[in-house]
Amino acid sequence: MIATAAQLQPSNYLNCSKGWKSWAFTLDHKRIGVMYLVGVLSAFLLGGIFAIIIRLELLTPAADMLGAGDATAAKDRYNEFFTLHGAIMTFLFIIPSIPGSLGNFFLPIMLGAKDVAFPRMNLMSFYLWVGGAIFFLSALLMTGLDTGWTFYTPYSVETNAAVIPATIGVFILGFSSIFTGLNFVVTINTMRPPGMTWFRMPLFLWATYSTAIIQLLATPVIGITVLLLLAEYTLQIGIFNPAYGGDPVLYQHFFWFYSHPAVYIMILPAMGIISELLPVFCRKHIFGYKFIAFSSVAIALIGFLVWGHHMFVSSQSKMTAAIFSFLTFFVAIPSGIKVFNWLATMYKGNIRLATPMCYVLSFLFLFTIGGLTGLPLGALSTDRPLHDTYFVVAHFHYVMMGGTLIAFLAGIFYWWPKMFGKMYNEFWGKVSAGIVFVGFNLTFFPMFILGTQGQARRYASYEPVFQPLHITATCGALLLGFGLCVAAAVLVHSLFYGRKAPMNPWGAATLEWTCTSPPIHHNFDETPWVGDPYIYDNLVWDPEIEGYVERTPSRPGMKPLEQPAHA
Amino acid sequence: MLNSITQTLPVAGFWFRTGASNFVEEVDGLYMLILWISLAFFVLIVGAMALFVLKYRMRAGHDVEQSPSHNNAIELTWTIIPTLIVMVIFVLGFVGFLNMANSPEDAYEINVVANKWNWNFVYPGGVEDPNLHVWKNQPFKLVQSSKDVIHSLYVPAFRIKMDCVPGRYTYQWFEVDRLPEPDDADNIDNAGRMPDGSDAEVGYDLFCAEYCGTGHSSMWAKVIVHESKADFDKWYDVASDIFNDPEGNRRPLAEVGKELYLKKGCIQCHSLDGSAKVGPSFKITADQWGTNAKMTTGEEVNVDENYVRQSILEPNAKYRAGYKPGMPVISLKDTKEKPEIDALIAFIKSLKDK
Amino acid sequence: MTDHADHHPFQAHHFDDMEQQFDAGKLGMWLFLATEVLFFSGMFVAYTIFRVNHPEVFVNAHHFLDKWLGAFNTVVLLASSLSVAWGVRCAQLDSRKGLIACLVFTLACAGLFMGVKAVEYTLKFYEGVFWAGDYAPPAVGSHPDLSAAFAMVNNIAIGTAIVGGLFMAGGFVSGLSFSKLGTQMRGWVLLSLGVAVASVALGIVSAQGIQAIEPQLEAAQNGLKSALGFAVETGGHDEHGGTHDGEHDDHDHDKGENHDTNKALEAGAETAVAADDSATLDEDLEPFAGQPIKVPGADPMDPNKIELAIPASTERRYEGIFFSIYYAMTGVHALHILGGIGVIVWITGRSALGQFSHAYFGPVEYIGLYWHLVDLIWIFLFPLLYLIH
Repeated sequence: MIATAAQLQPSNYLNCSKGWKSWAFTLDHKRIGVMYLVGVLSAFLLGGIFAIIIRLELLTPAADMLGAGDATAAKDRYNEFFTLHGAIMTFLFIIPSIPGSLGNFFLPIMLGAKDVAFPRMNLMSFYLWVGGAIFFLSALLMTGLDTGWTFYTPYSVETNAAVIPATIGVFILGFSSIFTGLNFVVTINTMRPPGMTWFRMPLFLWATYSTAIIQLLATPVIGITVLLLLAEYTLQIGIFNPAYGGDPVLYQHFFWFYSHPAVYIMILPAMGIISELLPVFCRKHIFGYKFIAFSSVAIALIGFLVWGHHMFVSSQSKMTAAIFSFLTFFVAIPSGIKVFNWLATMYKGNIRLATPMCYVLSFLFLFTIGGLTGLPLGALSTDRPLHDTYFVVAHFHYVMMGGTLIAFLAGIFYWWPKMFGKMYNEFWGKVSAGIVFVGFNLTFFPMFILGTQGQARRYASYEPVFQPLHITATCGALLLGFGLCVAAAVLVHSLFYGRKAPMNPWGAATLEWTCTSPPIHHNFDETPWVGDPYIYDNLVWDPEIEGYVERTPSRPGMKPLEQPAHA
Repeated sequence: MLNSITQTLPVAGFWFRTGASNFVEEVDGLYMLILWISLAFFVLIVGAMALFVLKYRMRAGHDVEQSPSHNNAIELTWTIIPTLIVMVIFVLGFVGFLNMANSPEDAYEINVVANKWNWNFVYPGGVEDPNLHVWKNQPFKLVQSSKDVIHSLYVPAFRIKMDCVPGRYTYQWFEVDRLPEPDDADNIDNAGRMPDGSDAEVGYDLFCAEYCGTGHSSMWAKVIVHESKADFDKWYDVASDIFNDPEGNRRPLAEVGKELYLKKGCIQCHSLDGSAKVGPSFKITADQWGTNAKMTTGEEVNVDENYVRQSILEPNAKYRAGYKPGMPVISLKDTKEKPEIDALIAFIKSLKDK
Repeated sequence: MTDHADHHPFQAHHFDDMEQQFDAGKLGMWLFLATEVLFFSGMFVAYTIFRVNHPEVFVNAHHFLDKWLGAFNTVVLLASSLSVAWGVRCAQLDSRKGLIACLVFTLACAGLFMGVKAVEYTLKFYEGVFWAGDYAPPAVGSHPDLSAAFAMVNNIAIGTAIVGGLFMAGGFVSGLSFSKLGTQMRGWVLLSLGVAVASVALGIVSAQGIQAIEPQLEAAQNGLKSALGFAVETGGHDEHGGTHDGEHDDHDHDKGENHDTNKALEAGAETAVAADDSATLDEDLEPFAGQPIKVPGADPMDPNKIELAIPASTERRYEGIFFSIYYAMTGVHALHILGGIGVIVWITGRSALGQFSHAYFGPVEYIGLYWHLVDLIWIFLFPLLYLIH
C-alpha cells in the first residue's frame, strides 16, 4: 500500500502560519477548537482541584480543615468552594466542553465544509468564554461566592459575596454559547456539500445540531434571568425578592427553564460521540441510525418541558408537579432508545478494545446507572426524601461526569491523532480508562447510600455515622484525580514522543479521516465524496502504516450529486 | 403489592433509615420496586455489553458477522416497553404524592418558622420550641414559613421534605407510627449533642435540606415523639412557662435566659467562650459590660442593658466592628409579665468573670 | 460554483457562492432574532405573572405612564420600520441615494424615540417613581415640583443638539472631498450619527409639545369615543407635566395615613389566592430605609394579627414591581435601539461606499430584520404597559 500524496504534504493547520497572532486572531475553526480545548480543560482542572478540596474537608464530620479549626470560617470556605466547583464545572467546563472543542474542530470537517458559517463569530464565542472565565475568577478572588451555582434568591441578593462579577460572567458565557449554537445550526443547514443529505450526516452532527437548538432557545432565558438577578442585587427591583413582594420560586422557574435544558446541552454531544465511536470500534454499521438521530431531537424538545422537576418540594401546585413528573419520565425514553441501539451495534461486531473504546464501555456502564437513578427522582413520592440529598449529587455526577466527561475523554482519545497528528501509548491509555472507572465508582456510588440515608447536600459538617462512606468517596476522588492525571500524561507525552499518526488509525468512514493528520488549513484539497458514514467494508488494515486505507481509491456507487445540498 | 415488597426485602435498611411515619411503606416500596426494575435493566444492559465484548472481541480469525443495521419492530419494542414501565412508576409515584399533599382534616397544626440557622416550632397555644414535639398515631400538619432565605424541612425517618419559602406558607403532614429508640442511627450523631449544645434527646433527626449559608449544616433539630397526647400535654405544660420550674417555683432569671439562648437559636451565631462565630460572643459582651465598644461606624457605644435590648429588637441598627449585619429579628416577649429580654440580659451579665 | 460569484469582493472564502452566503446570513439572523424573542419573553412572563396576581396594582400604576408619549413613539418606530424596509428595496434596486436616505430617516426616528424616552425617564426619576427598591412616588394629590426635571431634560436636549450638530458638521467637512472613498464613508458615518443624536433633542422637544396639548388630545379622544358610542373614561389620564389636578380616584386609598382597610384586606386576599399552592405571607415586608438587610419584623404566626397589620402601602409595594418590570423591559428595549443605531450608522457608511447592490445586500436585509423585531417588541410593550384596562 502506498501512502497518499496528502500524507506526505507537510503543511497542516498547525504549522501553516506562525506566531501568537496567528492563533489569537485565527478564524480557522480547528485552531479555535484547539484553543477551546485548552480553555475548557484548564477550567476542568480548576474545578477538579475545588472538588478535591471539598472531598478532603469531608474526611471528618466536623468542619475543620478549611478554617484551621475555626468551624465558622471552615463552613464559609466550604460554601465558597462547592459554589465555585459547581459554577466552574457547569458554566466554564461542561456546557462549552464538547461543542466548543471537538464540535468546533470536527463539525465542519465531518460535514465536508471549509469552515463554520460565521468564523468571526466563532472566534468571538471563544473570547466571550475567556471574558466570562475572567469574571468568574474575579468572583473567586474577590470576596468569594457562596450562593451555590444556582444563585437562588433571596439568598443570592442578601449575601455579601461577589454576585455581581459571577452573574456578569454567566451572562457573557451565555452569549458565547449562543454564538456557538447559532454557528452550528447555520453551518449544518446551509453548508452541506454535494451528497451530504441529512441522513448521511454522522450522528455526532445530529447530536450537536440538537444541542445547538437548545443553546439557541434556552440560553437567552438564563441571560435575562441573571440580568434581572443583577438588577435585583444592585437596585432591588423586587421581582425575585420577597422583601419587596417578589417571588423567589419564580426565580427558580426562570433558572431551571434554562438550566434543565442545559443538562441536555451537556449530555447530547456526549451521546453523539458514543454513537460515532461505537460503530468504528465494532467495525459494524450503527444500528438504528434514524432512531438515534431522532432521539437526539426528541431529547432536545422534551428537555424543554421538564424543568419543574427541580421544584417538586418548592411548593409547586399538585397539578404542576404531576405534569412535570409525567413529562420527566418521557425524556428517559429517547435516552433508553440510544442505549439499546448502541448495544445492538455491538452485537455480532468485531470489537476492538482500543483506548477510546474502553472509555465508551465505561460510559455505557456509568450512564446506565446515571439514567436509571433518575427514575426515583422523577417519581413524585420517592423524590420527597431524595430531593436535595447526596442521592441527587450522585445521580447527576453519574450522568454529567460518568456520561459527559467520560465521553469527552473517549472523543479526545479518538480524535487526538487527527487533531495533533500523534499516536499515544495504547497501554497507558487503557490503564487511565481503568483507573478513572474505578475511581469514579468509588467516589460517587457511596453517595447514593448517603443520600437515601439522609445526608443532605452542601453540608460542611455531617453526622459521624456517615464518615465511612465519606472517607470512601474521598479516597475514590483522589484515585479519580490520579486516573485523570495519567490520561493527561499519556496525551501530553504523545505530543513529544508519539509516533506519527496515520490518516485513518481507527478505520472510520466519516469525512475527517479522509483529511491528513493533522488536517490542512482549508480541510480538503478536493470537495470530498460523501457516502454512508458507517460502512467500513472498503477500509482495510495496513500494518505498514498501522492504520486503515481504502481498498479501492474511491468508493464505488457514491458519485457526488450535481446540486449543492443546501440549494 | 408495594406493601409486600417492602416487607420481603431486607435490603431496604441498607438504603433507608428505619422508617417511622405513615409514608414509609409507600416511599420505600416504590423505591425498592424501581430499584429492582433498574437492576433488571442494568444487568440486561451491562451483561449484554460484557457478553458482546467477550464474544465479539477483535482477535485473529474473528471478523464482523452480517447482521441488519435497523429493525423497526425491535425499535418499537424497546420504546414501548420502557414507556409502559415508566408510566407505571409515574402513577405509583403520583398516588403516593397525593397522599402526601392532602393532609387529613383532623391534623394537629404546628407552625414552623425557619431562619438562619435554627428551627422554631410554634404550637397552637403559643409555646415555641427548637425541637418538634409530636405524639404517636396522630396526623400533624406543618405550616411552614421562613424569615429570611429558603430553607427545607427534611425528616429522613419520615421520608418527608418541603421547602420553607419566604413570602408564602408551605405545608406538609405526617403521622408517626413508631417511637424512636436510643440505638437508632438517628441518635448516634454529633457526639450526642444538639446544635444548641444541650444533651441530645432521643428523637428523629430533622435537617435543613436547602442551602442557606454558613450554618446550613448545623441547622438541625429533633422530632421528639411522645407516646400519647397525655405525655405531650405534660411536656407542653412545662414548656409553656419557662419562668417557672415544673413544680411551679420561680426560676432564676439568668437560668431562664440560658434556656432562651439555647431555644431561640442565639447559640448559632454567639458563643459563650469568647470565640467569634457569625456574631460577637456573649462572653465578650459580658466582659465589656459597662465599658464602651466600637461599632462599625466608628461610634463608641456603652455596652449596657439598653444596648443589648436595642440589639435584640433592632438587630441591624448598630453592630460591632468586625461583624457583618444580618441578624434576624428574634421574637422575644418584652412585656411586663414575660420579660424574656430581661432574662437574656441577666444571662449575658452572668457570664462575666467573677 | 458559478464564475461571477467567485469574483464578488464580499464573498467569504468558505462559501461556495453568494447565494449560499446570503442564505447562511439570513438564517443566522433569524436564529439570532429567535434568541432575542426568548430573551424578552422572560420579562413578558414576569409581567404576566405579576399582572395576574395583582391586576388592580397594574391598572393603578400604569396611570403614571404617559400614553400619548407612548403612542407617539409607536408611530415613530412604525415609520422607521417602514423606512428600513424601503431601504432594503432600494438596495435591491441598486439605488444608493434612496438607501442612504432611508437609513438616515430610520436613524432620525431612532433618535426621536430615544428623546421621548429620555423625557419619560427623567420626569419619573424626579417624581421618585423608581423600581421597587427605591420606589417613592409622590403622595396622591400632591404637586411635585418638576422644574428641576424640566431643566434637566432641556439640558439634555441642548447637549444632544450641540453634539449632533458637531457630528453633522464633521460629516460635511470630511464628506466634502468626494474623491476619496474612505473619506466619504467617514463623512456619512459622522453625518448619520449626528442625525441620530440631534434627533434626540428633537424628540425631547416633541415630547414636551405633546405634553402641552394632552388635555386637547384627551378631549379629542373622549369626543371620538362618545361619538362612537363608547363609555368615556374618567380620571384615567396621565400625570406628567405637573398636571396632577383632578386625579385619580384609583389612588385615593393610598392617601397619607388613612388606611383603607377594606382595600388592604382585599389586597391581602388577592395575594393569598395568587401564590401557587400556598398562601403568601402577608406580613409587612416593607423595606427598612437605609438598612442593608431586609428582614421582616412582624410575627408571622398569628394570622389575625397579620391581616390587621397590612398597611395600605402593600399595594405600593407591588406598584414598585410594576415599575421594576417597566424599567427592565423598556430599558432593555432602549439598549436594543442604541445597538441598532450603531449598526445602522455603520451600514450607512458602507452604503455610501456603494457596497450594496442587487448582488449583495445581505447586511441591509439583516439589520432591517433586526429593526423590525425591535419595533415589534415595542408594539407589544406599548399596550401592555401604557394601555392597561
